[in-house]
Amino acid sequence: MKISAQEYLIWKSGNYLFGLELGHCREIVNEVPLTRLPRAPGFVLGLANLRGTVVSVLDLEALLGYRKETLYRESSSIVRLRHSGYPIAAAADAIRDTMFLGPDELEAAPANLTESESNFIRKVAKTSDGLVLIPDLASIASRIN
Amino acid sequence: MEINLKEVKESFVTTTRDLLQRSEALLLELERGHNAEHFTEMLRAIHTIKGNAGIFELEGVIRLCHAFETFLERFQSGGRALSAGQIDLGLTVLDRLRSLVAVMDDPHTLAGIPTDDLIAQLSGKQPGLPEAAAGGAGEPRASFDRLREHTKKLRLPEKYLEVARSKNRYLIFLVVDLADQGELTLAQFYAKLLTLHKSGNLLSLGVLRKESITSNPAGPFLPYFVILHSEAKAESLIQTLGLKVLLFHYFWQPQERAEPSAQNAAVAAQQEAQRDHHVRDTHLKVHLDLLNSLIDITGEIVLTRNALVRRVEHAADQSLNSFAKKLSYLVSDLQDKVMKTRLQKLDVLFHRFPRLVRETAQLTGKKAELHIEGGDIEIDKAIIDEIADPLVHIVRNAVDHGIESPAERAVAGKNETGRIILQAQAREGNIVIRVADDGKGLDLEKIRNTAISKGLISRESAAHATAADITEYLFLPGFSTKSEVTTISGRGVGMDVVRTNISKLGGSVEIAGEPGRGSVVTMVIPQTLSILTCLTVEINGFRFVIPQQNIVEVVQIDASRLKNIQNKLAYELRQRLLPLIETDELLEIPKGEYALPFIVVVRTEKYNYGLMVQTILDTEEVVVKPLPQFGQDRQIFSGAAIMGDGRIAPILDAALIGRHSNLIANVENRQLGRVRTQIAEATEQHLLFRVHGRNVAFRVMALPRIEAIDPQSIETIVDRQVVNYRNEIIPILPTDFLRNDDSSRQVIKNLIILQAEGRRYGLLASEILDIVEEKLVLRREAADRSEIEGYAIINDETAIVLNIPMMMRQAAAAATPQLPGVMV
Repeated sequence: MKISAQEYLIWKSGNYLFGLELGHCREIVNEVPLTRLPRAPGFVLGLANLRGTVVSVLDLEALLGYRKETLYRESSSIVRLRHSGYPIAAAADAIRDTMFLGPDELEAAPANLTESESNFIRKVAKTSDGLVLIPDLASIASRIN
Repeated sequence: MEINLKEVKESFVTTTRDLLQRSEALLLELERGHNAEHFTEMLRAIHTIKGNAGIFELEGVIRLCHAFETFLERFQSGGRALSAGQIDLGLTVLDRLRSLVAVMDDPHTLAGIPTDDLIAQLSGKQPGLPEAAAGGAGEPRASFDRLREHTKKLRLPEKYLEVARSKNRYLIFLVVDLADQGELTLAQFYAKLLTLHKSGNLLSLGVLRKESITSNPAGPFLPYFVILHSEAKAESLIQTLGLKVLLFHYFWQPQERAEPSAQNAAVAAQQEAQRDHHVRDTHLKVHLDLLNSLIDITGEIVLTRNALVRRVEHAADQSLNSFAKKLSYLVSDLQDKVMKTRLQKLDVLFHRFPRLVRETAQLTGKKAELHIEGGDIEIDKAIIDEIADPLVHIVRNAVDHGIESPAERAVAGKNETGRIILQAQAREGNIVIRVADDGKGLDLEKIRNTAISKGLISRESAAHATAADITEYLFLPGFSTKSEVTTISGRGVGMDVVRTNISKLGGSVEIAGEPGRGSVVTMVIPQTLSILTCLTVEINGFRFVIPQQNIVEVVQIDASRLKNIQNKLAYELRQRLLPLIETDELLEIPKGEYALPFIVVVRTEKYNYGLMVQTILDTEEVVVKPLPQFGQDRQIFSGAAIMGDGRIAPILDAALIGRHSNLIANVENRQLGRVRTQIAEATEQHLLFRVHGRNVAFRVMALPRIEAIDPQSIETIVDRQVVNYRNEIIPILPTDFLRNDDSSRQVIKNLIILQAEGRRYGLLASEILDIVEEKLVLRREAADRSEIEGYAIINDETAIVLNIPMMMRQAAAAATPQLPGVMV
């Protein structure tokens, strides 16, 4: 029996496409003003005030080691992630569509990843748009709390 | 301590209600089968109720409980399960207890509720009501004994009984066979039921399982049960309806048809009271998370409201403005109420102290009584939890260290019983809690010696210490003046822990005392934790907030006073060296074209330093939010603040910054301390002036402002003098004790302005004589007033040297309501 495909939210950050099961995405907010947090690690883009909740906005590219330092900006679109603990969100340059990805498209992360990549990438998916990285929410969250 | 009977009563009512609730659940469990544990638990619950009821002399409750206990015990030992009828009886007892407790405040109603009927039933002397009447003339078939027995034991919902009781009607349970109603069609039957239903007499109806009636159902058999209440007896009712009835029971029969009996009236009244009671029972248990999210949302609404009101002000449509205003009021009100949900009365905490004082006094062989004031002040629950332990410690200390033994007190001419006052006051958004005792006060010499002998302070610095400094020694880690460790105090968990805990909340603790007169511990704590008053500062576009409670002052940098000591930046501020922190480097702010012309002087319990900043913005109230910790070592923020305009600013944590910057804590700040002492010693100055015909001096760190003054501007308010200085009313430190006989002709010409802890005080002088820069040899006599530090020869004349900090403290204490029996 075929395992049914799951719906993923796909967004673009820098040169990469990221995807996460819809169930793990809490909301998408466009162009949120960001407050830079001094002394924070490089992958923290800043803080956003979402209706009274202070959300830490992460730069996944910096987290994966593709960029040394995050490129600070005044505002960004964000994908707020659904998990318990401190509220976190991923910065997105553009939100793409949602997409159904089944076992046919999803592959285990390749073996030739760097350490930071293998820490945070659970799977990759080959789509018509290109390669989509599926990050592991729990490992990301573990860097924050 | 006066026992608050009302609260005890409330607690009794709540506890009893919970116990009855639990008993009811247990009883219903027991219906399913015997369970020794349930039995024991229920017995214990009933026993507790009986015991508690004794306090209020609720005779009915006690007797009913007692009978019920005896009743239950019979079954407990027998190990037999309770029959349904007995369970019913038990439930009725519980309901009756509930009614009794609900009306306990009204002796008249209480007396009207009967208990004897139930007690009689419990003792088995009288058959229970459900068994009271059954069957009768209208019963057609005899083969339904099993059904009769079965349905007799049915437990009808209590509300049916209530309806019947309150209306004083028959509560009838009847079973009909729908398959055998002769000429009556089903439609007609339903029409009859509908009539009953419309008149409000029909309570319930439904199909009975055939198997429950007969094991051998012959032919079509459709048993149907109907529960209704009626003024008429079942027989006449059945006749009126023209039904063929298999059987019926009465679950309730009116005692007297003519008029409601006393018992019924009482029962009705009790139901009335119960309904009232439900209205009064307005407290809900709400999860803290829910409350907190309410607070969050409200905070957000407030910010949105602010933005909206700003926009609307510029709108062309004026009617919008009035709506916005109305919304604004409503939102303010909402915020106010929501914030209050987290508040609890201090009484919750204070209640335990009378006992604590009593026990501590017993253990230490002392006599002490506690007076509590201000227990009705409300404070954030989180803060109550945090101050509980410190307060216990302080109160214990007051008994153990403060109050003398009865013998010592008798010698000192005091009442043998010591007084301890626990007092709370609300002041400017803060709560001030004082623990005062009329004991022996602070023995400064002993404190000084202890601090030296424990190596907490060096001998030379202790020698220079003022009374205020020595009092501070009490807060040093590891300080405890008791030489022997008792079970009460002296376990090394001392005032330092108290101060740490309180300062974590953003509060402060201080001790003051006078030998022989007593001592006072004053705690100042914020009323709520979620909102903080902060100063906003900016560096290169980065905004931060610094909690107001940590800020001593803001200073504009004078470059000539910047010093570099061992590659550490310091600032000479009033002859003292203040360590400076280059805030931009600390925060790793990108380099840019900016300067840091201001110093925010911050103080925590351990550190005192300056933060250099570029711009000082507003002081405002911010909503505090938690911030994730990205690794412990990098942590210098205590959270994030959401500002009025919705922007976020990290909150600088003064203590964390002090630790992170490897600042030497004040206590062990030897290197810097020596430099400071040198500066201080080199410039030990005394201001010499003349007042009341005497030469008077006091030590100054920096030259105070001295103004010429018009004696007309001095006013006397009640017993105090104040002066109008540049539109500010400044209290004058009293110097009347210096007055001698020929001083009446003196002319006041000068006002010396002194400043301490943000308050200004004035000191009057008839003439300013000199500033003396020599080390004085002070002579002090035991009998001297506390305002006088001693006598010294200055410029060949004897001068009285004043203890200005003491005088300021006294003035500050005089400005606030005095604690009875204690002089500070």
